[in-house]
Amino acid sequence: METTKDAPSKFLNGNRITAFVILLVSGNLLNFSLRYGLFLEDGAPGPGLFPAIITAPLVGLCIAWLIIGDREVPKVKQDSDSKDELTAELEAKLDEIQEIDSDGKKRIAWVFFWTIIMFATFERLGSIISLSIYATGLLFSISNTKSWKAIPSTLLMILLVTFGAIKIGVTLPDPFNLFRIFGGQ
Amino acid sequence: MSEIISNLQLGFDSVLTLNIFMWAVIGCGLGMITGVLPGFGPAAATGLLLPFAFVLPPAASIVMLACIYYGSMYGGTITSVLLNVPGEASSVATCIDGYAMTKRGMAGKALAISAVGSFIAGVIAVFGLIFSQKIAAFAISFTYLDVFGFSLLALTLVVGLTGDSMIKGLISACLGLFIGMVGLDIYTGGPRFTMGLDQLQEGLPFIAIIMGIFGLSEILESIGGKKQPDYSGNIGSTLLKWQDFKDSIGSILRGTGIGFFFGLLPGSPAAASSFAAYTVEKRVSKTPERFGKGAIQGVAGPESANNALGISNFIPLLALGIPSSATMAILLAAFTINGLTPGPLLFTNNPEIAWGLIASLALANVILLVMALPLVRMWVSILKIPTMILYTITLSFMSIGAYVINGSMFSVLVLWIAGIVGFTLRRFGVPMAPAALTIVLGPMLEKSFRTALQVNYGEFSSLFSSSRANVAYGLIVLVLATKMVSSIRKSNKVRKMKSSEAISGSR
Repeated sequence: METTKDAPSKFLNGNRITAFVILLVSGNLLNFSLRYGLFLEDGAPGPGLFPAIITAPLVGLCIAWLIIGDREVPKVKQDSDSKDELTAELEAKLDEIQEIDSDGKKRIAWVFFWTIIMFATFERLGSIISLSIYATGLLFSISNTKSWKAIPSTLLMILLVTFGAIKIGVTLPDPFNLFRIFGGQ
Repeated sequence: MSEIISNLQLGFDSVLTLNIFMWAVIGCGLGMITGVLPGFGPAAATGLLLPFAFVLPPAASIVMLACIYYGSMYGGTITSVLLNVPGEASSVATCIDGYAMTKRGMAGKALAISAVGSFIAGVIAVFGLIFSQKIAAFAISFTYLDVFGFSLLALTLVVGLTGDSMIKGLISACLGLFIGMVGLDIYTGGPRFTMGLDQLQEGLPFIAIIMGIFGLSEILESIGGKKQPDYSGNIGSTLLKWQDFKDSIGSILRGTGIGFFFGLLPGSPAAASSFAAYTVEKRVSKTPERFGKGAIQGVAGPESANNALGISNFIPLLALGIPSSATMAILLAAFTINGLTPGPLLFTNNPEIAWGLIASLALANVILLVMALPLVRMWVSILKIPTMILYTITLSFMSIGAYVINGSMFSVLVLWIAGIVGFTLRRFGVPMAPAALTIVLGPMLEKSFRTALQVNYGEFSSLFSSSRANVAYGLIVLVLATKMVSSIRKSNKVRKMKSSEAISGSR
């Protein structure tokens, strides 16, 4: 399996961009914290004091990440002298970042697409219809599941969710009163 | 002694109602199903199912989540043994001999000894948990200064969870602390970091955030990844022979002791206890050469340690209100949702919850043993369902879970933002466990800090006026010094290795 170790430059660029983005955000938050006021008029701690105590080191840490973050050494190498090879390999597996190939990116894009559809329909069409569309869409697009598997799986899931929601007393959007079919109100 | 027995009786009385017992069974089952999802550890499983805390009564939700946690630990063992995929660091040691046993056609036996070892370790550890009341009785006299000192100590211990990069771990911790600050200020009532959004005045829904950074990011990672593990082999017999039991009982007891001790130390990495147990077993064994090739003791020791640690982890939470791991932070969130404050006063104000939780862990041991051994083939069959179908179902449940938090799509939006941020940060090596801890610890820390300063007219020197707080500060210095020394040693070792590699390369 390919890991980040095989794509160091890409990883380092991403590292720097991420550090820079967090640096911008934390700098902004520090600014807000200072504006909220560090102390109140009576000398008591103000609403900005604790956030400033947190965000100031965050700014420093992000700068440190930008500067020294790329000097990290892959974990397998660090540990290989203290643990046996198999252990080191398994430990590395936990920290390993799988490379996402173009198929993987497509699958993630499909997840986002169907999630946006779910966002748009959940309250308008109700949870039953919206989740049916969501789950069926996901099953067809990310798993290439055959219809004889996808449709029963979706139906089973919707049945479970609806029945569970009714039993626990959860209120989910249901503009067409479809919950009645399952014994809800 | 009679007090302990009557308290335990109270706990069992509150748990052994049909309703709560049913939620305990469902919790164990759901935990096992979620734990079986490849790559899902207890933190992700508990985070994913946290919305149950919203819809169930306090006792039921706490018991259920504790059982989910417990069940997911065993579910994780199944994937470690069968697929060589550890759900979290603490399962890595189990993989070594567990997977070797699978390759030798003894997967059933490995799963059985894990279940039996976990059961024995769990029962012994629950007895230890009873003493958390004694620690709580001591902690009841803590002032705000002491609470601040010990919360800060807990926060410092987060460095134990920072993984390889201390900088990235601390960034994660700071981000978590910041999340806890969004909303109305506790003293002035003014909005902080709300960006003018009314929904943010009550703060960010931390359940959605925890579900996002742990559960959703894990799912996105798995969906994007190339490798989709599945299991289609035969697990063999799950019956243990008397000889197997005789061979393993020493390992189980040693593992229990090691795991219990490690669990008492907030912030100690769970993997340390299972590796320690594995190393001890290899050292005391008359046939160390069998380790790594399918030694049953290599599974029994680490699994028992893991389970004992899982229970003794509750001691800092119940006695001091300090979560010692990401999963405990999630459980602390469940307490908060139900208006309960874990810590010294829980045993006084809500004894039925505190003792009910202890009783439920004892009960969960029995439920799991009953569910794990005879039904092991059923749990294994979950691995035969295509993972994408499992992920689709999980994504749908997750969205509903987030929706029920406040009955609006806002929490679902927060879930997805947290998921995407978590996914991105994890890809660049930023660990998420420190964030989970600090999201929960942050408000507690700020409240104690500001109250301590407020009552002392803003005098910072007053923070050092309590001897107990000073002990905590001393421990903080010790923890940081130890971490720094180990970091320096590590980097020296790496530098040496690099230079020796360079020398051998130039030759």
